[in-house]
Amino acid sequence: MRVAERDAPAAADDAEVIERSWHEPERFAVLFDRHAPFIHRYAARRIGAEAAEDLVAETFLAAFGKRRHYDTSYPDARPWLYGIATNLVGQHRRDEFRQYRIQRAALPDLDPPGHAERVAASVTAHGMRRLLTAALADLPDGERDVLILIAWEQLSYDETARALGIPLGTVRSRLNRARGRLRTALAAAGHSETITEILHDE
Amino acid sequence: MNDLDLVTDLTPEAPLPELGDLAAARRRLAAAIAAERTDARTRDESAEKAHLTAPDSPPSSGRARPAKRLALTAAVAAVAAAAAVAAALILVPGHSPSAPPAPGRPAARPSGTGNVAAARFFLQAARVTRHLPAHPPGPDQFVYTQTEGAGRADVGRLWLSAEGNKDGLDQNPGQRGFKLPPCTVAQAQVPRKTPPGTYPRTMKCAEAAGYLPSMPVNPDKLLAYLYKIGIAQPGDSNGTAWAANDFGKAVDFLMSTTYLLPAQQAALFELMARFPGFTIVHGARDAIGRVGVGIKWTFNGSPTEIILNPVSYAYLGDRTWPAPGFHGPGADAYDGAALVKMAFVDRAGELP
Repeated sequence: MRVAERDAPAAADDAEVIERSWHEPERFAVLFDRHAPFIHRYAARRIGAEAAEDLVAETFLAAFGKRRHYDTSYPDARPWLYGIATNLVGQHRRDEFRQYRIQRAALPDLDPPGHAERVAASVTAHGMRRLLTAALADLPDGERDVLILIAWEQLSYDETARALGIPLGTVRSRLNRARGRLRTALAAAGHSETITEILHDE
Repeated sequence: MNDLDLVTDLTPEAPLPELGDLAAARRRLAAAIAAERTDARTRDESAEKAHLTAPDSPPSSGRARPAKRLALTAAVAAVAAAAAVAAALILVPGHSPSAPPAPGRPAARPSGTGNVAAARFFLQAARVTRHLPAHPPGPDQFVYTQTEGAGRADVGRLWLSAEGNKDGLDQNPGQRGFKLPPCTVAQAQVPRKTPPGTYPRTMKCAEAAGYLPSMPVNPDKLLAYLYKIGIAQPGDSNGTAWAANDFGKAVDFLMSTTYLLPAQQAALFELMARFPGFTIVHGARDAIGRVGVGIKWTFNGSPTEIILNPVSYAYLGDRTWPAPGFHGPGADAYDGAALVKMAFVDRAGELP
């Protein structure tokens, strides 16, 4: 599933809400209602559902604390929130490590058995997921952050640069390096020619 | 379809939660907002009084104020009071967080400040630790560790096969547990053809051994070994904070999940002495209130501590705090685990 959901245009954009919250702090809760489910999903994928809600709370507490530094020329605050959440993920590395291990361990049991051919295709796709999970876990932190924000959260290059506080060129180069490493890892396992078939079959 | 689509489509789904499912997180934000409003009123009243008595006082800058100290102190006190001293049961001889070994003195407060004091502390810890008796697990055994979390009754149980060649088990309260796929140190190693310090790290799996007999006891070789098996990662930059955070978490991970030979633990301490990003905190408390010596570092404004027994230098636990700027109830220690038991058993899932 693509993560492309965005709120319908609201009465006040995020920048206006944040600006008003400088003097009326309770307005900041609007930001939570708009974005918390997305930050939660992102957190759950990275460090597991168990620790995700804490990370959501920490993200919004941190954002609230630094709201006076928000650049109000950006109407959408979600990339900013992703950036704060990503920094916090860095402090939960053990949870993230554990999450990758869990993903690898749990994958074969995700689907109930079905038609024999479907099972065979599914098993292959599971094998691919395992490889991919392992390859993601092995990426340098900075490259993994960029890749995940773009691939899972559908941020644009600009938004990713803003979220992580890095230049646009660095986003491009990190993404290219990360993709190259994934391709290498998958090719090394002999899966490079069957990616499309596997996805199609599934 | 390209590789980016593959990442998008083949990564595990996580549902988009309903807002109502996030009520606890929202309450924490609401409390912080309420705290700031109260704070602002108090400040306004004080400013008004100050204005009456000192008309030349400068106006408020309007910048964010520091977190409320009172709330933090109360929260820490509550955590300490609630931690009704769960007696640690350590079944691995010579690896007891709570019980001090016969010889030894409480950690002396090394003279000097900051990094110098930390380095002296680490070298002293290495001296005390290095010659403790070793009691490694048998090759077919499992290393069992049990942790307790901060501020809540969450007990984590982890079984890792000593050699990493059998399924491990990771069990949290109310969960059936997750099978951890086997992965020995040899399987986890970065291939030789990979240039040092670079990627791809086409390891077949993430190391999952409870005992690492091949881990060097020489600090000069230790860091390279940790890089090689993926427990530490050379950073994009060589910043002090990044290096301390990366290595600190590697040490934390090893001490909390793995049986370390005394000489290996000593080598970790000796290596820590070479990192400038650590400071020592006497009187640090772990997640269940046990007092020890904290090894502290700060990354992105957020402090983390590894807490050691002040006499034996055995691992007690870890704690992390949010960066300054957090307000309200969330400003207390938000994460942390205390190691309450380490033992060897014959099967994953078996309790000692």
